[in-house]
Amino acid sequence: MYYIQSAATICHQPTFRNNGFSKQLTAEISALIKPDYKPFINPSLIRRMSEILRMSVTCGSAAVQDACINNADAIIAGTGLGCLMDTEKFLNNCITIQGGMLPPTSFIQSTHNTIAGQLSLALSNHGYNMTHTQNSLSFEYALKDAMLMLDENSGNILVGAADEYIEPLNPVAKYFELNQLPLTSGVGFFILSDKASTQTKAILADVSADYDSSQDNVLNFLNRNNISVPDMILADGFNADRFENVRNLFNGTPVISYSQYCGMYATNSAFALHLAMDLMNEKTSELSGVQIRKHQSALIVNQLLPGRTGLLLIKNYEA
Amino acid sequence: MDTLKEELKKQLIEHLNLEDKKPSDIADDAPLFGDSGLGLDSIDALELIVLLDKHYHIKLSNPEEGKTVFQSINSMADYINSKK
Repeated sequence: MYYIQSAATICHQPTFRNNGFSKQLTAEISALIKPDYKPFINPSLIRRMSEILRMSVTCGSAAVQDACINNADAIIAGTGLGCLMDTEKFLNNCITIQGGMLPPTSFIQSTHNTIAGQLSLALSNHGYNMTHTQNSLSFEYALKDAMLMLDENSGNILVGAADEYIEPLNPVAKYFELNQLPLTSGVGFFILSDKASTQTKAILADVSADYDSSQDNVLNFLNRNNISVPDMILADGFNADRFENVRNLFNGTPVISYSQYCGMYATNSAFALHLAMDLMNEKTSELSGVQIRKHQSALIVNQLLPGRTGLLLIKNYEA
Repeated sequence: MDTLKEELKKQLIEHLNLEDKKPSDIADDAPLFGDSGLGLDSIDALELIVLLDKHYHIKLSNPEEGKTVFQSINSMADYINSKK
């Protein structure tokens, strides 16, 4: 068993340090809702950070604070496309400054592992620091890494995911027919531990990340966890056919489409995890007309991209 | 000379993302590096080298030279004028 001690998300919904946010969700995706970053980031560091880094350091710091621990034993981040704003800036510099010297900051911060790296600097954390980039399954791989670490050593791991929107993604998304929902930004970080504490919010029972989108894959995952039907299912809902397949799998079980709330970004299953925790803890009975009768278990199905399935099984924690 | 210093301050704010600063906040003789001045660091020093190249076509190839050139706005302006 793995225990989620805290969660912090910044996205296009009022999620940050807002318990019960699931009651305030709207399917109208607004602009990115940014908290005040200054209480979380050293002023001398903030000026150099792009939006994804500000969001990540703020969420990571908040997750550590909310778990009531001094520091995490490891930092593990997942990102599908990395720090796109700095990448765009760097590439623009390459084009405009022909043959001249290139400014170093955007180059240094354009790499995917800047997110976990900046978190370690901000938190003065000298532990294991890892970044997983597996497109739409990046968050699931980050979680699996954290779980493997907790199997070997006791501790508290800061694990999360981050992805950001930049305008040049629009024509790319259109080309690959990935533009059914607005492209957005989102960051979510969690403290995962091998032991329960007074801060424990939920249990992460199991995680799977496979290049297999069959219904058998989902059923086998539940079987190995001795669950025949989960109490609620959160599916990415990005593709109508894949969403219908999940819905048909368990007749009568409420299926919530989470991408309609957070928009489309590679690691939006981290938003779904926080949403599932909030629905369970708040005992919310309805979300967008979907009735939730029980709050003991939640299955998150991430099939954002065809042929890949990320599965998370969450259980309610009652001390 | 004053116009050049004003221009340098604006370029510094833009290139180094000194979001909370205005040109009037930067004294001509204030140290750019270290806690007593603007608090710039080694990455900023690289950005300043790029700034000189981009806006004034001056290539600073000797790192030792940078220590005196980047002391303050005054020293940067003096150096740019000496290269004209």
